[in-house]
Amino acid sequence: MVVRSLIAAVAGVFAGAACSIFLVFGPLELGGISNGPWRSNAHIGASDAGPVVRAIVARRGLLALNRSETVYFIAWTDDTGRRLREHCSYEISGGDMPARWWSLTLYAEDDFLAVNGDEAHALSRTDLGADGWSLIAGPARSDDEAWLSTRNSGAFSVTLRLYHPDARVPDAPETLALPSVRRLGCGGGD
Amino acid sequence: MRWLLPLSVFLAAFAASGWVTLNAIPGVIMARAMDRIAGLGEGTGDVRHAPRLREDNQTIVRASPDILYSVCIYDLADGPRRVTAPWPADGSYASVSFYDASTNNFAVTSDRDWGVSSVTIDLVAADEGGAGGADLTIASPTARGLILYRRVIDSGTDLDAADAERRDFTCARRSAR
Repeated sequence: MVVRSLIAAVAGVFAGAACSIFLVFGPLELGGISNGPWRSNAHIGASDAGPVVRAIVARRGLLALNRSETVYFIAWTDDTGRRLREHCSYEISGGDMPARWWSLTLYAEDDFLAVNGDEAHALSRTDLGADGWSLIAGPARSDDEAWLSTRNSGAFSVTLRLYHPDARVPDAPETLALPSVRRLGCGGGD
Repeated sequence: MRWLLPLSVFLAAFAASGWVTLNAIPGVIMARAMDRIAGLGEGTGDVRHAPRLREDNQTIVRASPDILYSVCIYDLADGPRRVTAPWPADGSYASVSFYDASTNNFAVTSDRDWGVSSVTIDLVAADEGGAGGADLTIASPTARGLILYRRVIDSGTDLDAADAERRDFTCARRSAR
């Protein structure tokens, strides 16, 4: 009985640690609310975040600001729920966001800027304007429209940052009119 | 019945190990990040003024290329800190955020909170009072941590002016009272 209990204790320690590591470093997306393809979590940057959220944020969004300063929305999929892929092209469009200033940044699958030499990782309110706007996210440079390069980004994501958001952003993020992410086509099959 | 005790032991060990691991991960990630930041960019004392983010100089996941970052890694065992933060003359967003050793953003202040061109902040240990003379006093939950100054830049920003301006962000050690 003692031997069995010792084995069970050792197995429990390893299994518990392994589950936690998988939970944080595995393919799990942050929970929180959904709004179209966009997801956000009220506990990002907050001191009251639970250990799971805090660990996931530490891995995927270390040094994030709390929601009074900045609200983060992340899209891993298009409007229809299909995973964003580097060889596909997307039209991202919307209007002005309810915040003092906002930006869109495309991150590669490893959560860093894609290494592709295109210098087309981010666009902001200053670039896109306060009225209706659209941009192309895809592997081919767009000469006519604002462009985010997806080259060498794998299953990428797009982060929308709202700096000094209006009160309704943290209060009711699921009701906001956030940008649409529409897939235009794929060059390498999907 | 003979499996009841081992099963209970397994579940207890599983839960305890999982909880400890989850709570340890942020501290481990933060410690690694602080080590990387310590060797970053130029600076004086404990402040590092990171160069504008590019794909070949990234140290932190999901950092923003639209922000100029300056960082101060602190250890209050060396005494409290006096932080000076300049606010952008062009009206762009800027903030100073404070993170403890477990990645918690325990305090933040930004340009819209102040009607002046810069602000002084004393960062003290949780059981310590401010030295006085600062615009704001903040207590850190942990002795070690990180202060991050953010300043928005965009296609309309005079980058040289913004870079010169953010270099007025300082994080000086003060002798303990």
